[in-house]
Amino acid sequence: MININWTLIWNVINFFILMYLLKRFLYQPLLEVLDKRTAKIEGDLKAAADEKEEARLLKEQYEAEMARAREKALEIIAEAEMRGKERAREIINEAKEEARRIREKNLEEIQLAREEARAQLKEEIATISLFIAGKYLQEQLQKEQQLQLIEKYINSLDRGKLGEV
Amino acid sequence: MQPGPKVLAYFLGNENLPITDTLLASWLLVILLILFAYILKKRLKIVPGRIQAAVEIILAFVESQIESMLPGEGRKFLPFIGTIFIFVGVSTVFGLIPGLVNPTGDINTTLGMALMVFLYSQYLGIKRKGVGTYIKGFFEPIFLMFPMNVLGELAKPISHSFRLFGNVVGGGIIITLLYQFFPWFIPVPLHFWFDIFSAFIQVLIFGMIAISYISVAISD
Repeated sequence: MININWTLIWNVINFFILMYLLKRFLYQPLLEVLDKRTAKIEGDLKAAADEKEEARLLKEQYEAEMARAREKALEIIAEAEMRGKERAREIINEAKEEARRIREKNLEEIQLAREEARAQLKEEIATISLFIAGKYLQEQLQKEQQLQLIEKYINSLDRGKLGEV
Repeated sequence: MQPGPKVLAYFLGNENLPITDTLLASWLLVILLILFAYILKKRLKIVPGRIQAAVEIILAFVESQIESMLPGEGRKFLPFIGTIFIFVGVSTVFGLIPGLVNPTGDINTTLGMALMVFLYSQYLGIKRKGVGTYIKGFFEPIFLMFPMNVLGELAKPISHSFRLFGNVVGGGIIITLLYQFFPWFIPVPLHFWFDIFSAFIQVLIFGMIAISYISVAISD
């Protein structure tokens, strides 16, 4: 049962052949594949981490830009509002100024018209007065004349007819 | 019943060069393993298939066992220790194939392995420590321990080889005996026990002891 013989040497030779060929066909290629896989996984993980980091940075950048844009928009709105108000104020002021100007102008015109009217009235009053005065004088004259005539007539009457009366 | 290797022929007719059934089985095993490795090599992929994944698990296991006792040297010793695991492991279950025998059921196989481990560990011990320190190691802790240390060292390959051999042959003898008494039922679970379970444990022990001998030899 226990017989130590050349089989021992044969088996050692077998073992070495097996070890050599397994090293060539199994261990080295398999370890290479394992290393490659490790490298690939590490690379992928690193790439994923990098991409995540990049995405985070992009997000941050985007958010910052959004915040800036919002701020800018608010600024623009505020500025527009301010400008609008200013413009409105300007328009109101201009309108007031214009109104004042128009009023003054109108007042001036009114004044002028009044002056003119007054002058005209004065003239007319003078004319009328003259006319009335003239008339009056004329009337007076006529009256005197008539009175004279009447008196003449009466006188004539007195002489002729009065006696009869 | 005559357990043990049977001589089938003689190499070149020389009676000193017997060709036993265990030797034939181990030749066949080596050829099959090389073919398997060659085919696997052709089909290696980054994303492994089932067989590749299984082989990877086995090799990673062996590497982790080496790493646990020889930190940082898993890759270096993987071909040697890995081949021991694979050769001894497959040898031990080879007998399950009808018509074949376990190469590890022959003391020549296990002793061959054990002597290789022994010589390799001595070589590594001398290489790493230097001849002086290596020889000095036999006189530790005191001078008187020299014969004990030498005997202890020489006993290593013997205990290493006979442990596996004894287990495989012992299991084989028990199964053979039971075949004669209960040919139909009992041998099946016993085959499982001796040829699969116990065999794997023995292979694990054989490999771990090989690693520990190397580890002891090169440690300061």
